Amino acid sequence: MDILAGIATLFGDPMAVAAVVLGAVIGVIVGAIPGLTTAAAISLMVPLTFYIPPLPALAFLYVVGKSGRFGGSISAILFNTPGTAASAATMIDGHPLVRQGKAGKAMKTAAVSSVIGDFGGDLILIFGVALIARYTERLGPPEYFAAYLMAFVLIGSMIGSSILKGLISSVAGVVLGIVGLDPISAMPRLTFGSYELEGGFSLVPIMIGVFVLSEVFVRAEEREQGAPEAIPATGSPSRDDHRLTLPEFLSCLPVILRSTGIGAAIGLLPGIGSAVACFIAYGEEKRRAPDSHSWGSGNIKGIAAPESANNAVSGPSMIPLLALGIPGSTIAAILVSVFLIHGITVGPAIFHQDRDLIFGLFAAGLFGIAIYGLIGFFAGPLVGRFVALLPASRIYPLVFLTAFIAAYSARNSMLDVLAMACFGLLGYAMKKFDFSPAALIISFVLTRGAEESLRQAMLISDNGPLIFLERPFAIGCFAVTVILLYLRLRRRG
Amino acid sequence: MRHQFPLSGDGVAGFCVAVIGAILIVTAQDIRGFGDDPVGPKFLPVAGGALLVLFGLWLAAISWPARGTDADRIVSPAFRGFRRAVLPLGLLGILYALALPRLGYIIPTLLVLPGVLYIFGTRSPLVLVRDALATTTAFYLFFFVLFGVYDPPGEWLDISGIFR
Repeated sequence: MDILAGIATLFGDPMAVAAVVLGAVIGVIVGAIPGLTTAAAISLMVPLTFYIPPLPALAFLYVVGKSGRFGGSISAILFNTPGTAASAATMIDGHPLVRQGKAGKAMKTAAVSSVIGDFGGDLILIFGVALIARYTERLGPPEYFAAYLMAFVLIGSMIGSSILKGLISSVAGVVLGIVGLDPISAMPRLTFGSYELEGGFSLVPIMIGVFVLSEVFVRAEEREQGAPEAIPATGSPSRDDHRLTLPEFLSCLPVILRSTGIGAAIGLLPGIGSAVACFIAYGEEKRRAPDSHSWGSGNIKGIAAPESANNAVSGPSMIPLLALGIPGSTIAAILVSVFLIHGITVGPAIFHQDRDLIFGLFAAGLFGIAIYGLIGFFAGPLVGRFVALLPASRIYPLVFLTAFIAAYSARNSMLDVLAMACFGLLGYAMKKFDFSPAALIISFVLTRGAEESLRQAMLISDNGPLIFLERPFAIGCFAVTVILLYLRLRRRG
Repeated sequence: MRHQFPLSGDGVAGFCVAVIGAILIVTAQDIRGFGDDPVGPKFLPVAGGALLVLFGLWLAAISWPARGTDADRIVSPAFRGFRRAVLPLGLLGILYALALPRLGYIIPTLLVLPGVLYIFGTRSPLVLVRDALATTTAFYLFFFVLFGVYDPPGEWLDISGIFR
């Protein structure tokens, strides 16, 4: 039972325990602030984690990601403004409950559903990933390239509202990823004669620029246009309206379990993510519900379904990263930089080389779920009131300054700071025109591995590109890509 | 009378993407091949450029001709917000990034922060100065003292050197 060793590793390191608790608190607050995405918050904190040991660093960011996803439901329920895209479906039934004076009931339903969903997803990760990694260790460059190609197409086509814009964002990420010296021939590519660009762009400034600084620009613009204020939460004097009773919980349990399954299955596929999972689970459960007419006007099952599904994505979305070295989500892509800075190569070999660290990270995930569950269950409305007190006029100037210092502190490079400012403007333009910053970042991270596996596959092939059709895993990846792309196009049509 | 732009916001974006793709293809022609590598270092830049041209033109094509509301996006209130908030903030950001290596951390931060606070709605000169001073000090202590991040020395003027 490696997870028991992981729990021992975690609790044997007080700094890691503190990192998990701090990560859970920060994640819930950040997730609850509308507009400040979890990815943006993690991007800002990545450089700081370079200064602490790997387990606390990874545990902190991993738990911020998990609890941030839950935190999004606080503002969705209380203010009718989803803190994250993953909690958009929670708003549909969550806010009507608040209007009925049942904010406590809504928050407790969200907390319990999130904890069960997240826990279920993490169990799949813990007990499944090592088995999958044992298989993926035997894969060669052709299979890896097929998996990368699947990730590119799925991430490009599934993230965001437009397939075409998602694919453009994905290709833009690839282009940014090839700037610098060619990994095989060491020829400079797209450096425009600049010596500084020969090292390529670093992930941290791109990430901070595209996710964080662009968000500051968007908020400044919205402020200028007079964005509507959040609707304050209302309370009820009745105690029952603030409790989740046992019969209510039991009636939600089948919904939670089915939605956890949906979320976990979606989490395994790169790029689709919790924003899609929450709507699929909500739609499916509403379709099955005998009282579907009450959905949308404050049915607690309408909170249970999306919350369990979007949190169940978290664990399985780490499987492509750990089993193949291919990040399937924005947060996984960000974690890659932390693994690399601590000299840890991500991929199936990690289960031989850094087994304690990985299972310590899994234990941190479980501990983090418990912490944010407690915060959500007992203090959700309190967090909501705290977030409502934070003035945007103070938060965003601080975020602006932090973005610059964080970009600098990653490598003490002024070029990174300038690059971050430019990528901030690029990220703003992408958001204004509905392109996908997440697809750009994930593709940027994938590019180097994808190119290396393509070129290695072609070097070992006697039949040129036909090598990809000689490998069953590669054919499977191509088939999944085509089927999911077809389904996506059909859904749009 | 409002001028009707022939392309919508998406059309302009698609056209820009296509132009960037074309520039990439031209630039990639300078990349030299390498030995027996059947793919070569030039493949990905050219393929990426070609896909950007293809997708960009596709986006421009499906957005043309501009419908009234889409065309309005270019001269919409959002653009006013851009001029009054995003553009000044972006300029402050670029100036800050350029000033950091020349003047170190303290002076550029003290100069830029009141501007950022002003854009986000703080109007009182006293509050602007007070918050800029407090934030600059707090960030200095947090990042450069507590976390030990290397304080950027200014090439022209290095006030932080006094504290080092």
